[in-house]
Amino acid sequence: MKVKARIFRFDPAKDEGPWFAEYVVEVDESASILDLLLEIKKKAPDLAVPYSCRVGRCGSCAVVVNGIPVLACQTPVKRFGHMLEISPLPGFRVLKDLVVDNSGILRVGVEVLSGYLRRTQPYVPPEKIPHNRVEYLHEFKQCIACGACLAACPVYSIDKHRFGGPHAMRILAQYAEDPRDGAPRVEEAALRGLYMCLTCGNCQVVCPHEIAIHRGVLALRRKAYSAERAPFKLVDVIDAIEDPETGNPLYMPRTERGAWIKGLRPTPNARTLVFAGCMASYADRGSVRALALLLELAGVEYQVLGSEELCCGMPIFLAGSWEKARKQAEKLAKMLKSRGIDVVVTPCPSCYRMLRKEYPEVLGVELEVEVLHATQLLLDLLRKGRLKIRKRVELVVTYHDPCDLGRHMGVYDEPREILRTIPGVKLVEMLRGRYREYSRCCGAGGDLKIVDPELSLRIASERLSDVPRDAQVVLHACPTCKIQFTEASTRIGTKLQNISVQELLLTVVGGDDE
Amino acid sequence: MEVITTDVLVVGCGAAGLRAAIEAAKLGVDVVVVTKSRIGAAATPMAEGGINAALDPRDSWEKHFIDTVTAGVFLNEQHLVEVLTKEIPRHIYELEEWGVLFTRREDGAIAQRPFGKQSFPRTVFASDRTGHELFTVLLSQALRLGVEVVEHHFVTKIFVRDGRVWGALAWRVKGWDPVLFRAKTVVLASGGAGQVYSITTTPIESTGDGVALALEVGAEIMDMEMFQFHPTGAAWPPPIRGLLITEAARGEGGVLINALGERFMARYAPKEMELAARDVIARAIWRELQESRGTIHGGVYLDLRRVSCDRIRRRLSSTYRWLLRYGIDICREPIEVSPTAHYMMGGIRIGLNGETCIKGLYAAGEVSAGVHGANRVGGNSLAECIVFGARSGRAAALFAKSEPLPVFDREVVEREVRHVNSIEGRSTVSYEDVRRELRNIMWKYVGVIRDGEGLKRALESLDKLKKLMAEARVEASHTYAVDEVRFLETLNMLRVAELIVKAAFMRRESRGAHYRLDYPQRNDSEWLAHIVFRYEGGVLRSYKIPVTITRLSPR
Ligand SMILES: Cc1cc2nc3c(=O)[nH]c(=O)nc-3n(C[C@H](O)[C@H](O)[C@H](O)COP(=O)(O)OP(=O)(O)OC[C@H]3O[C@@H](n4cnc5c(N)ncnc54)[C@H](O)[C@@H]3O)c2cc1C
Ligand code: SF4
Ligand code: SF4
Ligand code: FES
Repeated sequence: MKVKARIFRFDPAKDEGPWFAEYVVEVDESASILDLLLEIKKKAPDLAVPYSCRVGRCGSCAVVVNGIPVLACQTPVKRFGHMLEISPLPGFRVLKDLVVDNSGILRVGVEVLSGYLRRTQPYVPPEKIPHNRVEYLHEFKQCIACGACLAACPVYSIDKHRFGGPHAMRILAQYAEDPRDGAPRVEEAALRGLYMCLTCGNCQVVCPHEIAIHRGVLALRRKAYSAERAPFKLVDVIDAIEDPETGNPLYMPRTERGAWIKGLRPTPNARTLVFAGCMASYADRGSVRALALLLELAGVEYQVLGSEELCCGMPIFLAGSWEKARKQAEKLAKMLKSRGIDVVVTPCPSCYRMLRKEYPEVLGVELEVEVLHATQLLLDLLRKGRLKIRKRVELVVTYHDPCDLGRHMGVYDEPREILRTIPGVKLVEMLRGRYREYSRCCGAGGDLKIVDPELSLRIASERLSDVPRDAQVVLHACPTCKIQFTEASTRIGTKLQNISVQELLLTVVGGDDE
Repeated sequence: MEVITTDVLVVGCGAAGLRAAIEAAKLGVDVVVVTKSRIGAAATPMAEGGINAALDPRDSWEKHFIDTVTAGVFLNEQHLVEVLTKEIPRHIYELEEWGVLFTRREDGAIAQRPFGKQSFPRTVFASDRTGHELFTVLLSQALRLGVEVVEHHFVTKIFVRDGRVWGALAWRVKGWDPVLFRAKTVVLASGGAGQVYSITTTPIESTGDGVALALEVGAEIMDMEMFQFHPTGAAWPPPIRGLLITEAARGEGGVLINALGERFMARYAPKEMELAARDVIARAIWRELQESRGTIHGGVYLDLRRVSCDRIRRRLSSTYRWLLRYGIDICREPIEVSPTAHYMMGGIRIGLNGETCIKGLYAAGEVSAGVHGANRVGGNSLAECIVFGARSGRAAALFAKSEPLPVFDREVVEREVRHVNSIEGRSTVSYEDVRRELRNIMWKYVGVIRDGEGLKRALESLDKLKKLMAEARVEASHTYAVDEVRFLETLNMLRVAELIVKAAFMRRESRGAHYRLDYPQRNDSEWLAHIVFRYEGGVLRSYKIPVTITRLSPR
């Protein structure tokens, strides 16, 4: 197949600055990015291409293709189509063209982070170690220090000084779980920004070995919390969530929790529950109101928990108290059961992820209900014809994939499908390939909004630069993301509008028999 | 010129080099490791299958010894095999002490699996990335002990005066400046030479530099005709040509089928079928291809469809995922395979402590010869790197402790600098063409099956390439001088290729990995011997030496 590639060129000795050269080459259908580069090298012999093993083991060949950090030897050209722009990994010194000085990662790992086993007990071979523990550790040990994760991490990209980055987190998470290691890894992690990680999973999607560093971070935080290393702000927030007077991380009075329901027509004892979640209840009522109104239009009966609604426990879970998060989960499970609920629908991806995944898989709390995100139920209603689109809107929009909905739960298509059904709406994806699994966090993940609101907002502002210039509106599927974007838009003074998918939908639909 | 002074200089940052460095550093001497590319770019992290050690009480070092020597068709240096098999178990535990974590059985003990031609399952492994696991731990251990690891430095010369090493010259790839290493001892651990073949599993670094460097200063090079071809390299699609499809694919039940749909191993090894020795299968596939029973892409099929998909996903997970990226679902379709150059059994002749015939020069790992004889058992080379890495590191350190820093010879250094500088310039001959042609010739005439005619032709072609290379120049790019490195490697590859061809020509028999169509029989009465090359007074000499047989004689 014929490929047109723009390649970053820079020879520090000769060139005043970097430039791009364009090459058109023929490569095999199955060619990898590395094959493409080597083919180009035949035309441009002085092009410097980093590689050695060709099988994803040496970590030399990470580059950025159309905005996304990839391992060249393990990435098919086909994934990017016929037009590629290839540049070196950002954040490292360019030696020449695509070759950067990135093996410092290995050194820092050992020399700065003590990335080696530190036994505190005498070693007596042969040592028995549970085999599933070994398998868990092997996952973390696969790292080849390619640096792709560092290039993809929204926090590390803007605050290297305070945040050790995914690489440091991986090392510390690994040793903290190694039963043979006795070094204070958790304390070290706390010093290196354990609570600055967004747990967004951006690092995992670019990692050639798909190492779930954010899971390692959660495990570290669990230990940190037990060791009383969690930031005070989070301890306070947990108190607020557990306090019957508030019950949410926003320190808002419980009595106001149900305020969003005003004027709506919930049905007591309905099988479907609209679960607003803390953010929508207090800070983005529009999102949950739109959802409820759409259900009414579609003739779906729903009930609400009103001022009794509980926090799903996500902030507690992220802070590291799995025990307290479990208590929260159990309380909620009981409440759902007592109300005869079959389906929970929520506009909040965090609640969705907690109820659907973390409750059963991590906290061991099984809910006997189906949990849906708003976009899933709404798309279903559109497909079944229970919601009909009556109007056209001429609008160029972009869509921001929330971490908790996309990467963590794999829901990418439903919101886009909804947008596609609205005539006149043109969806343009985020720039630099940062959409779907490569979407970047809004900055509020991992409790960072609580721990460091300023940094959180900086990350959101940075994210705004991915919005395509022609987009008039950013559509959201998450109240938190929407709030983050709105605040950041105000801060940098753009006219960009931020609304939720269901709010847009509400302006164009009618009910079944309207 | 920058001068770095050290007690022990280790050339190579794979398992052998790092293990040597650790042992030396433990004895309190200064150690520097140089590597020509990025740390991590070496054969070691690519090793998947495992490392052999008789750990189980029902197994023994004697059994390991017998398996090794039988597989090596008695060309092994048995005193080396003895220390290898005796010492490796203790090293396995030591590696774990440092942080290596081997895969466990259900009961939490270290798991061991069978690897080709073993009388007992003795391969210890860390998932399917054993070499990587060893590498990361060895590297961290070395750095902790204060070993200086200097990367992107290409060694072009070992300095020897009066039969005694005194240093080496390396070139900084970033900037292309010469760096003089003054050292009391040098450990060569620069790996293999798979790149002399056009189809190979090895990383681009495997260009046989160590053999060329050692040959030039008068070390003995032996067994060069013994090159292992792994039977199942990927043959298609082109981007993965030559890359390793692990032996486990056959171990799990994969079968080999030719283009006519025949399970052809029945003709070559009716009893062992797909689990016959590597060289037997490699030859069988080669013959099928020669006799036009291969696929249009020049391979035969490795068919795993009879293995349950679930098992494939569990036991061959990384192979499965890797091939899927190239559009091949091994659960549902066969993959085309053909032999691929994998491992250099030959190399620098060493003694029990990695010592060579040059005082202060040691060799360990794939660059050395003698342990594997005419055929290597899978899982034995990492073991060799560890055991002989440690031994040579220790010997080098002890020697360094007892010796003053040798004086250095400015004139020789300057001559070498001038020589290397002379490769720069413009010319119509491209080293890349020479390199490509060399690799094709080696594959065509000196591959799995050889004969006198072909070998002669190869030698003539190599001669032509040598002359061509003498005219070639490389355009200077000093910021990142990777082309200069590739150019100089090509010179080394020509050297190494020449030794392989000459030795293959001389050995008029078939043994292990070396198969001569014109001499298909093994001939112990004449060829139970090593072919050795050595420069003496500027001429390349070759001679036969007897094999060291201590315990097991070929009856
Ligand atoms: C795909 C694959 C799978 C394998 N699987 C197994 C297995 O399962 N079990 C097993 O036992 N063996 C296996 N092997 C073989 C084994 O990996 C190697 O033989 C072994 O790792 C060699 O280690 P080494 O330290 O000798 O050399 P390498 O690990 O190759 O290291 C050589 C080092 O020397 C450096 N170097 C070379 N020349 C120069 C120079 N001129 N100047 C400076 N530095 C230089 C290189 O940059 C590199 O750092 C496998 C090999 C491959 C390719
Ligand atoms: S989860 Fe997100 S914030 Fe945390 S290390 Fe990975 S990329 Fe960075
Ligand atoms: S964690 Fe993954 S992406 Fe990050 S350096 Fe390691 S291998 Fe690369
Ligand atoms: S070339 Fe080694 S990881 Fe890609």
